[in-house]
Amino acid sequence: MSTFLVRRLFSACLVLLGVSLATFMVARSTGDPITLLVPSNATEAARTELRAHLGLDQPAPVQYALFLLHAVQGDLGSSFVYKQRVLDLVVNRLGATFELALAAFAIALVLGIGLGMLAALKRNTVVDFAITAFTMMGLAIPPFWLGLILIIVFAVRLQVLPVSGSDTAAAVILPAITLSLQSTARLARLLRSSMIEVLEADYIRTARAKGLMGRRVLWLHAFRNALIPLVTMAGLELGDLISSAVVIEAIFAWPGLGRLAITAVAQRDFPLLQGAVLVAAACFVTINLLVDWLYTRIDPRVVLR
Amino acid sequence: MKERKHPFRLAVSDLGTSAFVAGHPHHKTRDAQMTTAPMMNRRQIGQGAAALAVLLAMPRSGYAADAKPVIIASEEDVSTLDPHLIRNNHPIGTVVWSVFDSLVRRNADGSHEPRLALSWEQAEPTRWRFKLRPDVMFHNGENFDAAAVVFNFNRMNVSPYNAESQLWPGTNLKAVVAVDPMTVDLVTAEPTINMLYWLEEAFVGAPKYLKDTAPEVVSANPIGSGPYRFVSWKQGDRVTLTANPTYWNGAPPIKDVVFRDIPELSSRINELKAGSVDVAVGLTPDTAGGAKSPNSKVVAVNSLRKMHMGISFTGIAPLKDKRVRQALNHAVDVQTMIDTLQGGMTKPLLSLVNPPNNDPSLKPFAYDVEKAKSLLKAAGQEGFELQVAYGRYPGAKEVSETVASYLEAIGLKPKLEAYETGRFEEMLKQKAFTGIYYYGWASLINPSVELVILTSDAVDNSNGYNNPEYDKLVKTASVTLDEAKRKAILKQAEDFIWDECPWVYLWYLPAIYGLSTRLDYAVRPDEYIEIYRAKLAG
Amino acid sequence: MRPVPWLGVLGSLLIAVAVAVAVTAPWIAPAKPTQLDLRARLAPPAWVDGGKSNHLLGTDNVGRDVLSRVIWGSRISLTVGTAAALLGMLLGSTLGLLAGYFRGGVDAVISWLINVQLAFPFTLLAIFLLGTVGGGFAAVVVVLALATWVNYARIVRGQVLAIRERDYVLAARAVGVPTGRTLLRYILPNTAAPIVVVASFSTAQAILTQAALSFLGVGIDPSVPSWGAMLDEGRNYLQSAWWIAVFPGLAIALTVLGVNLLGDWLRDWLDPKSAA
Repeated sequence: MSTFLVRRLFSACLVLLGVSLATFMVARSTGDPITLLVPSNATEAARTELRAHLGLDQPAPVQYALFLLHAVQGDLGSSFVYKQRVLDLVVNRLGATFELALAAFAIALVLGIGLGMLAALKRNTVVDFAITAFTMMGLAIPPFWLGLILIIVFAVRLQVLPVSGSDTAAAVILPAITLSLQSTARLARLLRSSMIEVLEADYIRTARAKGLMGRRVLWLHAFRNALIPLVTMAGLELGDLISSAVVIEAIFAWPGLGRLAITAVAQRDFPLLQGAVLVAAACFVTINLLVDWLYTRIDPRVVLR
Repeated sequence: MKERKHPFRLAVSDLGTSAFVAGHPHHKTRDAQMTTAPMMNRRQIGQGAAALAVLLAMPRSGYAADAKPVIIASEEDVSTLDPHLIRNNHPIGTVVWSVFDSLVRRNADGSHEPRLALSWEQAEPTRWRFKLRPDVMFHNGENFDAAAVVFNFNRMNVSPYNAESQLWPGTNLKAVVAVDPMTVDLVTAEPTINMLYWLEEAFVGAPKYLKDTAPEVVSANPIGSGPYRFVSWKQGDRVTLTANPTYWNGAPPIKDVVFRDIPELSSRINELKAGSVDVAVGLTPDTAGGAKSPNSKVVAVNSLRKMHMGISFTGIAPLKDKRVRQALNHAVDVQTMIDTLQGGMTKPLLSLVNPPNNDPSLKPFAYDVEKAKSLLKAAGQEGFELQVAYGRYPGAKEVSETVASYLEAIGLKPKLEAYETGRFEEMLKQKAFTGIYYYGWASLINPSVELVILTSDAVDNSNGYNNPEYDKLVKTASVTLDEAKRKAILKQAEDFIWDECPWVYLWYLPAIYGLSTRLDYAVRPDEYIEIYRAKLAG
Repeated sequence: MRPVPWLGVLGSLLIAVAVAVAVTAPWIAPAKPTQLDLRARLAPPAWVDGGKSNHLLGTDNVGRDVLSRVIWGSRISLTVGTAAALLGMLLGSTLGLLAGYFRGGVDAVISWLINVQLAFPFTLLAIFLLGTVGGGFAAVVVVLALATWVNYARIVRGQVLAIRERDYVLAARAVGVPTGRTLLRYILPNTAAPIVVVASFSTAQAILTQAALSFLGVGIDPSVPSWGAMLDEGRNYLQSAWWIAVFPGLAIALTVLGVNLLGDWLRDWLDPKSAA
């Protein structure tokens, strides 16, 4: 177990290294950020001073090396625009993004599992068909479009939920539903088909034919087996939710990491962008480490190398 | 429009060298407006600190106990609240104006009035003397005096603050001298008459706090002497301010103010209609109608921002011919665009000089397709391909598409190009556009300032217009002290540049705000919101 | 034996309609998609009060015919979606094939690339690249391919790992068939089925992502009508002129639905075991 952990941690670090290098290269390829950071009538002297102040006068490899050196010490540098520590800024927003992503994840899990089980249970009935229709539409509707429509229906016409913001518990409902739609649909579909697959397996058929399995045991057994792909998928989904929150955050004025990063892009705030991307990637990597660990709990046959 | 504020390198203008003293009748009326707070608060100021502390501990009178905070919804969040790093008029400028004081205050019409300075005079051509307001205290208890001004202004002159603060380069400032605790001299390298303009954006923070505190703390926890005290900033979400009960001009009429960041326009409007927002910033003409409700009204003002399609002089050859540029202006039906896209909420540009200083004999170019075609023919430039570029500004796409279709109608081949916000600004700064681009220019009500941006060495000259004759006119005006003579030269320059068509002239950007019915506030044309001048109706 | 795959038929139909519309756009569109008329702007659909018969689905904020733009917009969505899925397929399958076949160091590097790509918040990457490099058809296709290649690489790698140990592959290698030939002749064909399935879902994903990027204001040349850009244009009119955003939204949903249904059916058909 401990060698496994060390190996996985090492590979996770390599992944983060790759992400940071990619971000750094993409960022530096976009030109001199000083142009955007100062008013056009700032003096050349002020520009040169600022460049030195921000460490932009160093060669790119040195800048990257310094960034890494500081990053491993938990220092992601200082934002060009906010003039604050990147780590503080990012952590500040991470909470909001987590809140939204976890709320969406909870909805996706509950609805996805519920609908998936129900569809498998009532296979080839009207219920199954309706659920399939719902999941197919869920996958096909652009989420940002749905978000705008939900605002108009629930917040403007019916006035039962807040339009935007994050100050009340109710405010999370609309963005979370919007964000969860695709995940819900994917999880429901996955669960339905893996449940059915297990139920169709020969040994189960035999057991059923012989009346060896009670209905309840049967479903529990099937669900346990269907859990494995579900957990894999759920891990990826949670990571995906954090990344796709970008658009949803803008529509619902949600003060999350995605909007921070979009601002950073528009203002060429490199340290902030690097920090935001790195932290988002770290979350993704961590979640997947957890998923791997969960495997061992669900299925004793899985041996981790 | 979400843009960086446009600071201007000012030339010597028509403000002259006279002394400005508090108590000018014009200022008095403004002052009266500003002191609508209960008189009791004013009396408090005179009391000793101990008495003040007692009063502070008591519930503040004058505010309704159940009054909800006034909420201002903007398209973006503030990024830093350091008083010397103001990156835009709104929302950063608006918050800084509320928490900090400058020596001089800028009125909505561009005139000046005392703020932390009581009076001022130009003692010598290169020496401005300011008498400071006594008994002013910063929110943390520090005292305001000449030393505070010296510290703050010197801070603006070091990196990174000198990249954003324009006081020093804008005025050719050489030294800041404390003459006595309540008198400050500003010494400039050359005579300047733009001192007041730049002072209006030079804010004074608590000096000891600024000196002893880490920059990242300062930029997130501003401490000034202004009408509002900073309470909290939840990044990406809201900034909360509360009234300063000991403000030298009396506590502001509204107790709590919240600046919310709501990027989606439809969400801002929906919140306004739902009654959960009091000011929705940045409405468009098409959405204005939908923002009216029992809870809300819509207020529009012609802003100082002159919308146009900038014509590049560093790009394709045909645009260097004046006849071609005039043809472009004749090809676009500006009035119809205003009546439809702008909902009739503005009027065509009449000059590059903002009213009321514009030459009334100038008239917008008439919409005349035939004339446009014959001008192109005369120039021997027909059917050329032309870049039509725009950024992510509200309405930019529809305006650019419409202009492109008008240009197509005179036989040109317009090519629409969309730019991401940051990229668009880079292109402007590098004069990299090759065709025409949608842009707005905001400025003072001040002819020489407005005309200077098209001189060849102006840093904000984004289309690369370069004409020695024009440069000479503007430069001559800037050193002509005789007012009548200067005005004549400026008029000559104004008429000259209008005929030159460096832009496809469009309209004055209508600044449209959604206001809740409970709020009583007169909006400004320059995008700042002076919330301390607002009050609750009824 | 198996029942008629109604959903597959429906999916094929939807796609057929979309393709037909895209191909015949110049003939069936009632107006030029870029033809604007300010005086006729924001006209509602024909069946709504104030609607005009010459604008069946109404007009947008500069008076262009919404129906014509929806028709022409199908071209961008379909070509970008397909091109991105194909480019992603080429890239992902190749890398997956190499990783699965050679294993060892090659596999380690490619797996690392896959993990880096998965961990990278894609939307940000796209906005950043398209914003700074500039949009355009090719740029959008490349960026979307960056989003989809991982799907292929993972599946193909897994398949190849299993197939390479099969007898006929081992035999081919034993008799000295060159590596390239082994890969193309004996291994690649056996990964075709999952690739086709991934391709259909990747196309759907690319269409949706392209719309999201246009919605965020980065992407395709704005003079070409695209569904995503129409949604962006209509976002501020949802309450006053809903038709600007609703119809392109429906068009996207129906097209993606069609592609997904077809993908489902393909998967069942190619892999009867997974049928449900």
